[in-house]
Amino acid sequence: MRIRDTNKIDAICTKAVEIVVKQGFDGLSMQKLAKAANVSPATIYIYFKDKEDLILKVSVKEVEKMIATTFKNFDSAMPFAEGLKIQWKNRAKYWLKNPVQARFMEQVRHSPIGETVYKMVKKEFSAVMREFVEGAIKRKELIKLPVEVYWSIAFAPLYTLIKFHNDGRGLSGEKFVWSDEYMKQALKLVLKALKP
Amino acid sequence: MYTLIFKTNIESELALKEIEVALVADTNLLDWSIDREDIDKVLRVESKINNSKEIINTIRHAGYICEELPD
Repeated sequence: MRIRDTNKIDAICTKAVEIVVKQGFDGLSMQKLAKAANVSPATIYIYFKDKEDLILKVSVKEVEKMIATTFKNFDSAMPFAEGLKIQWKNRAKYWLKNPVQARFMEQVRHSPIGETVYKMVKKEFSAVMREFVEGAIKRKELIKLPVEVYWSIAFAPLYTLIKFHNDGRGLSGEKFVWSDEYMKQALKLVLKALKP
Repeated sequence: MYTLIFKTNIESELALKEIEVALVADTNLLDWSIDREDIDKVLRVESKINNSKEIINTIRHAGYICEELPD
């Protein structure tokens, strides 16, 4: 009975993400991945049935890491302003530290398996976020809005700033670097906009 | 449980069906799949026992190439 070699699994997952970001899903093959991760193709097949299974498992692993970071020090019973600030800080921390994973998740989201991944992880994530929002609405800390409208105000500004930073360029093509000051400015206005 | 990996030449739908028939008799097998997109047409088997040799014989008997893919 083989023991799970977590070092090899990590190397496989890390390189899979890198290859997909650089060459797309089509650019990933088990043979190429084996060379990049310095393992034999057989080793990959021990842990993953095929390319689709690999991408699915790697995606789920990345999303779970992201969710864990997002919920650090967060409680769905928190006041809205405090909770959203922690969400912003945690999400910024994850995406700024993991630009390659961010690009990978974007590719996954826009691919056929995106929906499968989403279905697998959404329960844990949306239950907590829903509690947070519903509590805030009850306590009159947040306007009631359709969820997509809420998200496009509560989080889209954050992700836009992160994208500018990860792209290295702002709107005019000039260099853009993230700062906590920018985050504070945006968050202040977001909270103002969502307040009843 | 053992995860056994083989290199084969199982590529077509017909080949896949023939292998299905050949492997269904082996009660030790918990699950198996073939990655037909890979250059080695990798057969991956989850088995209760380490019966690589029997599996190789079964696949070869069905008329296909089969050898263990080393780690």
